[in-house]
Amino acid sequence: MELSARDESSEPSASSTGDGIIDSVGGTNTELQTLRKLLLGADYQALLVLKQQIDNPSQYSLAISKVVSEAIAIRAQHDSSIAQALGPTIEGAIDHSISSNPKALADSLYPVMGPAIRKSIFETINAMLEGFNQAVEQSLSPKSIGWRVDAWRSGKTYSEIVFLKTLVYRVEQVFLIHRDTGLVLHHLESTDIISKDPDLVSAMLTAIQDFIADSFQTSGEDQLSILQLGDLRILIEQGPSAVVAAAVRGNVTPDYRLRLSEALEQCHQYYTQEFQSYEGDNAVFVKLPELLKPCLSSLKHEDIESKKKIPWIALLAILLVTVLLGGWWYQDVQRESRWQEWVQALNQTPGVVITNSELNNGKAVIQGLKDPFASMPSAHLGLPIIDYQWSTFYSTDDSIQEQRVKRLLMPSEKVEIRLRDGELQVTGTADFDWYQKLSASPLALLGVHKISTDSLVVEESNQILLDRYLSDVASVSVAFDIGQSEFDAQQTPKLFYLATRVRQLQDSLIAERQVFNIRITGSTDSRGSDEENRTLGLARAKNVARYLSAQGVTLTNLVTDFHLSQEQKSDDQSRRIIVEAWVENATLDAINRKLSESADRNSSEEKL
Amino acid sequence: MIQKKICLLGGFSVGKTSLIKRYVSSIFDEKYLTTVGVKIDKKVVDIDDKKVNLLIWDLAGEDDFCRLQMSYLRGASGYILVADPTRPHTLDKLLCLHKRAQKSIGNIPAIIALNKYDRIDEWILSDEHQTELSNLEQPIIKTSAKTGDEVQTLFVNLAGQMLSN
Repeated sequence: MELSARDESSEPSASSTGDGIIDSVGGTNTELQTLRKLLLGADYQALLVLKQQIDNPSQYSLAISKVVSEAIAIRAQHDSSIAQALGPTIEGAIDHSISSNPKALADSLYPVMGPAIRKSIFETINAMLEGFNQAVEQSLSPKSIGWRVDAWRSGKTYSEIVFLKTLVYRVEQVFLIHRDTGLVLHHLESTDIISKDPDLVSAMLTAIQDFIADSFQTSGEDQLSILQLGDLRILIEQGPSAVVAAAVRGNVTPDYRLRLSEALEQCHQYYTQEFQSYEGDNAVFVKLPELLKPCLSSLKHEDIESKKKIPWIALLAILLVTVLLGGWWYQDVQRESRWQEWVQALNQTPGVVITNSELNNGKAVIQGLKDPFASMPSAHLGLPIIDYQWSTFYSTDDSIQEQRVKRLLMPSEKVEIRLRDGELQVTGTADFDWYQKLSASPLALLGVHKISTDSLVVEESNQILLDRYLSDVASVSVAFDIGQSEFDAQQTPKLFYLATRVRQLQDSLIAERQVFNIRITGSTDSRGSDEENRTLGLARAKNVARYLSAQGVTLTNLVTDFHLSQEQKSDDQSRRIIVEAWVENATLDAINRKLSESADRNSSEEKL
Repeated sequence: MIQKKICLLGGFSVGKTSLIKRYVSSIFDEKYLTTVGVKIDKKVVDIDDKKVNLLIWDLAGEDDFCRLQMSYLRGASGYILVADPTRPHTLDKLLCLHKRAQKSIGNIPAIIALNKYDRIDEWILSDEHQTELSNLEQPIIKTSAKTGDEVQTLFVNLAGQMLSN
């Protein structure tokens, strides 16, 4: 019936034979059993055993357990269905584990959670710092300004600087304490610290925590993390099996906390088992000194200082300010020195006397006396605008007096005038008029005591020269012995001088197209008759004319004449010749007059 | 050197602090100072040529107003239960504390100190109490902090138990 039912329900397939066999094992149909035995032989028993294994849950589990991990691994290589299938189960398992014993999972996760949480906290603190930064940026105090400057030049945020500036600490002792027993696992202390018994201290630290937990309402997870008395802080980091406590003086940096946590985590990594089965024997913890050593550190101000970058910007700024100040100062000094130089130069200028000079806040005033002839020195560049307040005075300084003399004399360009100690030195070439003016000027009033004209060449004008020559010629008088018509040899130099002068006059006047006239009149004394005297006088004149001719004088326009002495003059003065000379143009009238005079005096005119 | 934490438990004013003081510093002071919270002392003892650093937690005496927190017992390797037989209710307290300690940290070496042995004539030790104490199956030592009687024995005995445990 079972078989027929099987046959009805099952598809006609290759597996139908097997199913039939297995199904019919428990059956009562011995014939079929026999048939099966006949058909399957020895395999029949093996199949029976296999069936039993599958039917029996414990046996089936045992069989599957041998391949389950391999099967999972193989399946996981193909797709992620296992993860999906196991997901809810694992979640449920974790849920169950946490609800039944949270500590176990927490302890296992401790080495993972620590760094993750710290990272998260670090991020939070950073965000908080930013907020804090904004808050403290509002505050102003000399210290905060100094810190702000530090922040500016170091490129850090202000809050970081505030933290850095206040973070100076020294770790005096480090305890690693077994959490359950409160026994000290390891203790480190810095060199010059007088420490109390670390066993008691760590026990007491544990007791304090218990005491706080007992005495105040705290949640079970709350743990003591800091004790503070004055500037001493006990920083405590709690691990699952051990606690690290550090006695620190000063303000500790946040990274020190991190260092404590890391050291504690490493201790747990090394000694998880040992911590759990701790029986008070510290001999096994050989690595603890090394692991805890980083916790025993100090941060001095110098550390912070030495970490500072070289403040280039600040240095540049200081340099710039120095240069600017230096420049300003230099300019100031320059301005002052230029001012002083100018005042001194003015004071040394002839005709200038400075009675007061002031330079205050760029305002410059000079008061003093100034001669109108004083010439101001050329001004420097960069002098301030100066308010000159002069009073006029007359300077007796040589150079000023010299200018006054020049103003008076108005010398030509060829004349150079120099006044030295009252002596006026006149050099160069001057014309006669000016020379006469020089002689006539009241120079003594201008402080001139002496005029030196040794090196002065005075140029005379033609007219003056002519007049002088004419007067020179006219002044020649040649004396004669009594009754003699020939002149004495002693008179020859006079006649030679006369000849020279006449020749000069003739030469110069020919060039001027003027005619030079000369009259030589022979004069006699009162002795003898008039006739004799007339002849004698004329002979004397002619002799002289002859001599002149012999000396190269042209005799054209030379007139000889005689003169009879009317008065009873001294004979010596009467026996002589008189020379008269004139230029025709200028003295035509005079010639005519002379001629008429001569005719009136009955003098015979004889042309040579 | 091995370190061990031990605790002294007992009622109010039974002499826990005095026992420790006598043991650690060989001092006895008649003046009574109540312990608040916990006080810790240490003493190094030689047990079978082994040096043991005993950290002795002197827990505040428990009375009706101040209930001892068992968290102090955490990590202890042994404890001493102290009672003052001149005040029989401290024996009840001792029994109660023992139960709570066992519940809190399990079976660890313990020892019973019946203190103030110097005043043994004032002891009021009922049969009932004696039976209950002996039922605890813990060593019972009669001590006197004042005279120092058996104080050494008390601690050494406990240390010995802890080491052999």
